[in-house]
Formats: sequence, structure tokens, C-alpha cells
Amino acid sequence: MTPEIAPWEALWRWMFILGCSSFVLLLVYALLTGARDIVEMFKGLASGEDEDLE
Amino acid sequence: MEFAILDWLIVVAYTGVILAIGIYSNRYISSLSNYLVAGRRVRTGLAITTMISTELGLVTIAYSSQKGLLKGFAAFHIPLIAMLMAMVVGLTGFIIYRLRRARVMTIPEYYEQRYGRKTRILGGVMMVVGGVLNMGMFLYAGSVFIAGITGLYETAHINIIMTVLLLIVFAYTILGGMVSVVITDYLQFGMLGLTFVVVTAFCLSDVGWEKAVRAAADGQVAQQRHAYETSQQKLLEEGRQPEKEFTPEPEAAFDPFKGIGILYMAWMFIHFVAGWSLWQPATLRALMAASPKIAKRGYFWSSLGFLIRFMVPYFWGICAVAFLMEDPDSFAALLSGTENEVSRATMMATPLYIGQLLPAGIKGFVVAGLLASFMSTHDSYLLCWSASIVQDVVGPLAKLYGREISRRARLLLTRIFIFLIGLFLLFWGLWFPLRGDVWDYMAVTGTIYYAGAFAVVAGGLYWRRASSTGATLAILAGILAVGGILPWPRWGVTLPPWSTSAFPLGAMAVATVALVAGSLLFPDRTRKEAGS
Repeated sequence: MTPEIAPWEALWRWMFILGCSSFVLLLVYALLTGARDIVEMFKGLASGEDEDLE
Repeated sequence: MEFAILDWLIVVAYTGVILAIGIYSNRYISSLSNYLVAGRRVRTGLAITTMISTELGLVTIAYSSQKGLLKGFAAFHIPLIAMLMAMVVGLTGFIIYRLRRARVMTIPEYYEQRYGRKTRILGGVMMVVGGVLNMGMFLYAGSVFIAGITGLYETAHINIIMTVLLLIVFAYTILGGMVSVVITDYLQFGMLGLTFVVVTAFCLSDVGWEKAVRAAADGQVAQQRHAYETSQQKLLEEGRQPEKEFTPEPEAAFDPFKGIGILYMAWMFIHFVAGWSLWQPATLRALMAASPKIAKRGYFWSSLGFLIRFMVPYFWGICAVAFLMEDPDSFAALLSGTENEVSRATMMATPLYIGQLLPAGIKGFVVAGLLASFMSTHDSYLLCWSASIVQDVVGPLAKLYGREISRRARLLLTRIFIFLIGLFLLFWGLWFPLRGDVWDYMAVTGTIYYAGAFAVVAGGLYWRRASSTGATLAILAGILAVGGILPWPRWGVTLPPWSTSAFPLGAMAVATVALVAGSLLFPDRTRKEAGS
């Protein structure tokens, strides 16, 4: 690997590693909290009101 | 590997579940706000899943894998910029916070609040034209990808599959509106997230990082050699002497300044600032959040998805180069032919590679995940643009002529426009002569709308002197971006490669100047408050 390539390759490699592992965590978090949010959304829609939380 | 019966069963079962859930949601549609913004009851977890699902479509995977194949790791600057800009929007609430606080359901609705009804109608037309043109390649790119991975090369087969999928999307979007879109997005997020993990794991075990790095460099040099030989051949045909020796530059596969150019990078920077804050399908996620703070939080965390949606398919494309470079002739063959043929071949290469990589059963699961991404984007976009036609064009036009359209009629009209836009997609995808890569087409068509919208909304929210005349001129300036996708070669005009970036960048600059100049020269008689 030439000196021109090395720093760029390192940047992209770490972006790939950190990005992919963080995404897996986000996937689990969003699926768990999203399930709870769906239940809340249905409850709200069934109540027939259209209000902001704040 | 063949697409086995087990694979088909997985695909059919999955699409059946999605359809059933979508139809079930219809019982919750009691008002227009329930239909268009899910009653503004979307909280953080759901905001993240629906945001990422919407912006991570099969078309995204198709054009991103093509970009990775053609540009190598140098293209990684695009996901980096996309993530950083979404984080900035999420942290600062730039535009989205004030829009959500204004309780609008579409962006042109804000135009009316700030500039007047005529501006809303013009802005609505421009937004829908840009948005629907942007969708124009969804079906085509998705078809090519599915054809490659399943091995169904017959155009008729693919068209039938895509038409059936589109009908399923019609059914649950027309019936359940945003409620069904949000719930199916949630399921599709899980499915396509797992798909990303599985395919990436297979690519890494097959190619690995080191080999991918070598392949990216080799692939870039092969493209440079092809471009050099083509230009030399042209010189010889014109009776001129070849100019210089071929000098390979493998670093162009890693260094975006060398591989892609600073003008393109500048375009991407501005594209994502404007896109994340004003691209209606994405901004709609902020507008339907349960509060402005949740809107910001959803954007911030979704930024990770915006990184992944580009970066991972880029990596698949680079792995496909490694596979193809085992026989350099097969890689060279990709680059031969008309622009349209090269575009199709380079888009088909990655799914072909993935198709031969995955075993039966896993392949069915992956195709179901890809179809999930196809449906989750189509449903949101169809609902978004059809709602905009009714809310921002038909409704305000009727009001101009002293007529009011009832809520029931608006719901019906929205459903009719969902169907009509779907029909347009079927036809446009078949006959539009695509040149260059699909991502550039998408970014240019998006600019037709947000070149003007960015100046108009940012000016309206943050500059008290912005006037309706300035807004009108800025919205019209977006038309200049069309130059980036016009079939110039067919008209005998040869433009330099940087022109693709220059048209949208120019449109954004002209729109900004038009807003400022128009507002200073023709101020509104009754000035409204910034951020009103």
C-alpha cells in the first residue's frame, strides 16, 4: 500500500468497523423501543385525539 | 445458485404478513391527520425505524452498490457527509424544529403560512415534479437488482414481480395511510437490518477487507485504462497523435479529492444539508413526531442509518469488483457499450455476485429483506407525493376559485393520486434513457425541488425580509438543475463530467441569489415574522 493510500484506507476501515457495530446496536434499540411505541400509537389513535406531547 | 422453492416460500410469506398488517391498520384511519401524519403520535424508537426504512430503499442499495463498484472506497465520503449533516440537523433542529412547531403536514403548507397561497401552489408543483421524477428510477433499479440476485433475467418476469409488489404497496398504503406505513416500516427495518448484517458477513468471509482494498485499486486502474484507451482511439480516428503515456492512479479509489473531485464533494455537502432538512419524505418523519424534541432526536439517531445505507452497499460493490477481477476481461466487459448499457451492467454486477454467494434459504431471506426495503420506500414516497398534490396543489387551487374540498374528498383524492403515481413509475422506469450512475440522477432530480425550497424555507424561518416574490423566483430557479439529467449526448452536446455537479450547485446558488434579490427589490407590503 502506497503512502498516499494508507491514511485514507485507515479512515474508511475504522468508519466501516465503527459504523457497522453501532448500527447493530441501533437496530436492537430501535426494534425494542419501536414495539412499545407502536402500542402507544395505537392507544392514542383509538382515543381519537390529536395532540402534541408538549 | 438457483432461487429455490424454499426461497420463494419465504418471500411470499413475508409479503403476505406485510399486506395483512397494512390492511388491519385501516381501522385506525378516522381523520386526515391520522392518514397523513399518523395522528402526530410517533415517538423516538418508531421515528428511527420509519426514517431509516423510508430512506433505505432497494433503489438505495442498487445505486450505492453501483457507486462502490465504480468509485471504490473514495465514495465513502458520501456516507460520511450524509451522517454528519443528519447529526447537525438533529442536534441543532435546523429547519425541522421550527417546521414541526408550526404544525404543518407538508412543507408547501409552510410556504402558505409565510408567503401566501400562490407560493404554496407553485412550491407544491415543483416539489411533486422533483419528487416523482426522483422516484422514476426506483422500479427500474429495483428490478435490475432483483433480477441479478434471483437469476430471473427475463424482463417480463421481473416486470410482473415488480407490478405485483407495487399492487401490494398500493393496497396497504391506500387503505391504511401513514399508520400502516409506520408499522410496516418497523417490520421492514428489522428485516432489512438483518439482511445488511447477513450479506455483509458473507461478503467479508468471501473477500475480506485486504482483498477488497486491492480490488478497489485494481478496479479503479482498469477503469482509468479503459478511459485512456477510449480517448486515444478517438484521437487516432480524428487523425491526431496520442497525447501521453498511461499513468495509473490507484489512490483514486481511496482519496475522494482525486477519485471524485472537490466540486462533487461540495455538491454532496450542500445536497445533504438541504436534503435532510427539506426532503419531504424525510421531513415528514419530523412533522409526524409527537413533539419537536422527538423530531430532533429521531434525526440524530437516524444519522447512523444514513451512514449505513450508503456505506454497506458500497462495500458489497467493492467485493463484487474483487469477484469480477478474478477474470479481468469480465470487468472490462462491464465498461463497454453505450452509457445506458454500462449503467445497467454496473448495476447488475453486485446482485449477480451476491446471488452466487448466498445459499438457498438465506437467499430467500435476503430477497425478502430487499423487497421489504422496496416496499418501505415506495409506500412512504407514494403517500408523501400524493398527499402533497392534494394538500398543496388541488386544495389551494380550489380555494383560489372559492371552493372548499371536504376531508373525505381529500382522502379519496390522495388515494387516487397514489394509484396514478404508481402507474407513472411503471412507464417511466421502462423508457427513460438513463446515463451515468443512478445516484447522480436521484440527487439531481431532488435538487429540482430543494434548490428553491432550501432558500425559501431557510429564508422564511430565519430572515424577516424574505418576500413572496423572492420565494417565487427561488422556487423557479430549481428548474436549472434539470440540466444535470437531460440527454445531452443524444443532442450531440458533449459536456465535461463535472457538469453533473455544476447544474444542481448552480441551481442552488441562483435560487439563493434570487430569494435575496427578489426580497430586497420586491418586499411584501405586510411583512410576516420569521419563523411564523
